[in-house]
Amino acid sequence: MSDNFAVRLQRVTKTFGETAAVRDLDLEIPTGSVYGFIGPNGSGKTTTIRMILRIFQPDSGTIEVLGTDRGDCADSRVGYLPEERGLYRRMKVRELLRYYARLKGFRNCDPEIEFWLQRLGAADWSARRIESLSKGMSQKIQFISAVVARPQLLILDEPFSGLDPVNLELLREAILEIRSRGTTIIFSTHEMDVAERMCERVFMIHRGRKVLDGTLDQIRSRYPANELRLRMSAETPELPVLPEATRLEKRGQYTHCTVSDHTHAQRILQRLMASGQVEHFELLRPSLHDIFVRIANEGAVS
Amino acid sequence: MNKILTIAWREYQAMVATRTFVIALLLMPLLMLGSAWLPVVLRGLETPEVRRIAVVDNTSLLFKRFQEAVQQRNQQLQTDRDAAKPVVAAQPTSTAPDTTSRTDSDALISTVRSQQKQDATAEELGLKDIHSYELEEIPAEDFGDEQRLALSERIRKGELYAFIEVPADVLQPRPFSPENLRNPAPDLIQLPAMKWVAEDAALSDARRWSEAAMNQLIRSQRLSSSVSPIVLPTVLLELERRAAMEGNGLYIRDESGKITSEAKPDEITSLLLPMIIMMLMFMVIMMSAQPMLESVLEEKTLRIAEVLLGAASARELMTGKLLGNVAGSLTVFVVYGSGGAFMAMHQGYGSHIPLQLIPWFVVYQILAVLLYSSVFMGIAASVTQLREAQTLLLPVWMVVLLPMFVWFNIVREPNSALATAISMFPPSTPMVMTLRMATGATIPLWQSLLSLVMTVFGTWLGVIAAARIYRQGILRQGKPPRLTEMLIWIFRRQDGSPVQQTKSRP
Repeated sequence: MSDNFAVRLQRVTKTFGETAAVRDLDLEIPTGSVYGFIGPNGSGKTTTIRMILRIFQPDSGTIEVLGTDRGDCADSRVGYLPEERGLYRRMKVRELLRYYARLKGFRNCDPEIEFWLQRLGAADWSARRIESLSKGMSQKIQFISAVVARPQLLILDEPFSGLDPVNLELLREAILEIRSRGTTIIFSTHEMDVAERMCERVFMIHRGRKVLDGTLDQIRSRYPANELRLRMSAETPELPVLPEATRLEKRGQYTHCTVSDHTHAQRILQRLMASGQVEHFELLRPSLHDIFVRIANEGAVS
Repeated sequence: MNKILTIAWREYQAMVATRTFVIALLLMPLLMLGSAWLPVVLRGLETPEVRRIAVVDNTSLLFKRFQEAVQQRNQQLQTDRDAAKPVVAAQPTSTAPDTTSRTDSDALISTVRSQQKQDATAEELGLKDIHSYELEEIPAEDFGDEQRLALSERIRKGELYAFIEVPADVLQPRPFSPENLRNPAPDLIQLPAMKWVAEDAALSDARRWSEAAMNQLIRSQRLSSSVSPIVLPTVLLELERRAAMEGNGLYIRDESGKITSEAKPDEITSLLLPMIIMMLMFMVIMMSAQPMLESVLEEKTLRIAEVLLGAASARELMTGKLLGNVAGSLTVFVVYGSGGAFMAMHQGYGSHIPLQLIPWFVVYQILAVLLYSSVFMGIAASVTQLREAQTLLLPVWMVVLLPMFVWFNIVREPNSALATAISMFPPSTPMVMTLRMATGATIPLWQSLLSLVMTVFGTWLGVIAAARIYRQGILRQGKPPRLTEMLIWIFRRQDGSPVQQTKSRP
């Protein structure tokens, strides 16, 4: 079983003093997948990551990482890129990368360092001190430090923040390349479109509880389209009366129509076809961003 | 183990291979030595001048002879200066009395000289007055407050250095009543006082010298005026001559079986050496603990700790860092130790290097660095800024500096109850025990061992407590914990997880 999952959390709870950071969390991350961790600030994302890294021990429940369920620090097979910095300012790039590789027990690391410095166009900086690098540059070095020991599980916390589009694309390709080597990737981010583009599966945590978990399609089917985009032909500019619609809004040439239940869509289509010629009828699938905002707001209301 | 060594090696490099470290390494002894030698050097730069002292002699018998003593002193100063040995004490030439017939003033001069020898230490420390004196006699008739004021004005203007008032009755011994004779206690009875008026009246070395010389004259004067002419005052003075007491080392049997006294403890070994040893310990502690503070603070604020803790356990991380730090401290020791030894040998003090002390010093140093560096580590882990660390460090500094306040007492009596007590209880132990050992006093073996055991125990406790604080603090952001909170971290049952939520990134 554990061969199929890189990470498996079972009924994991972690409290800090009075507050429960993570409650009863079950999570299975299949080997070789790119798994997105999303959630608002303070939702328990970082705590979950730190438990997977074994920086924190859970109060109850078990955490299995790459087949082992105990340990007081992360496996050498796990690479971690924290959200910001995480680099010694005074060290030189190559020295620092060597240090991080050796900490992971990877002794003969120079070819790998060379490969990644070339790959990310950073070969010229290898003798420079970290403090002399720009934010984007140190971001790349940080990424290399996480992957240099050839991890089987790579945890990336906001890897794209502070990158310009060119470098972002470079890094995105690098991540996909690592994935093609069979590395499981956990991707923590606030940026929904990044998650949407990069991840096959998404896990969302809110107030310490899992609120979403599955492939993007599964999630979208759970949060079905309740918004329609319509346009009638020029002959019938007026829309018929639509009792199923809770809200109508004109946006340019289209009308956006919100329904309370997606089954009403068919009824609306029938009414439209009865009243004239339908030029455009589209079920709008919610973006991850919409779902995220909806869940976060529901949480805030409750 | 590999991880620990990897961490230790980086820590060592980060500590030693920095410009700050090299600069501190060079600057520290300069500062320390500078503060010790500066007064001496300044004293050497000072040009001797002639200080004018006015004397109001109500006895009308003392002035002339006081003048002789002053001239003698001036001559002696000139001789010392010609010998170009302003710092090191003059050889004790005057202790061997010559057999030629001597006059009253010869005897006086030799006592004045031996008085000067006693001041050798003061001279060594640069406190001895190097100026020569010139006297001015002020008529004693009608001398009153107006005249005192006038002389004081002259002192203020710099024309005069000081004035001395000698009362007439200073030559009168107490009446020889049966009561007084039965119960002599001469030292307890205040003689009519002379007056010394100067701007630096209390601390002046000139006053001390004048008092001693004047007393000698007064005694001799009393003798010659009251003792029957059969006994020569010179003879009496000779009978009264002080016997010197030289400080000697304990006797040992050397390799050839001869029993000799150990090297005579002079100022260098009995005062300077222990101080240097204590300072060395202090510098080593400071130069290791400070980089540790900075390194942990950097790891915390830049979130390097997260990466490290993702690769190594907190225990491995701490062990590695402490190991690297201790290695760095040993580097400091080797640099200072060999530098000091080279200098000592160059200056001809090679025999003073306490080789037998080195193993003890190294052991105590390792323990002290472990203790203080881990305390600094714990503190750095629980704050987010250097400024916050400083507040928490204040009590720690006070503990580190404690031996500095009492070192003189300890050096004077290395086996006193005070010295023994504070050398037993960490965290003063490493500094105080090496200080005691450096004095050359015989310290019972059980004391050395007990203090070592106590230090090991104290260090162990300190490292455990610091480790607990470190674990809790290192991933915590936001405001620093209160002291009570830190105590809870120390005494709480350990399950390896932080007590408090670490505030999420904004």
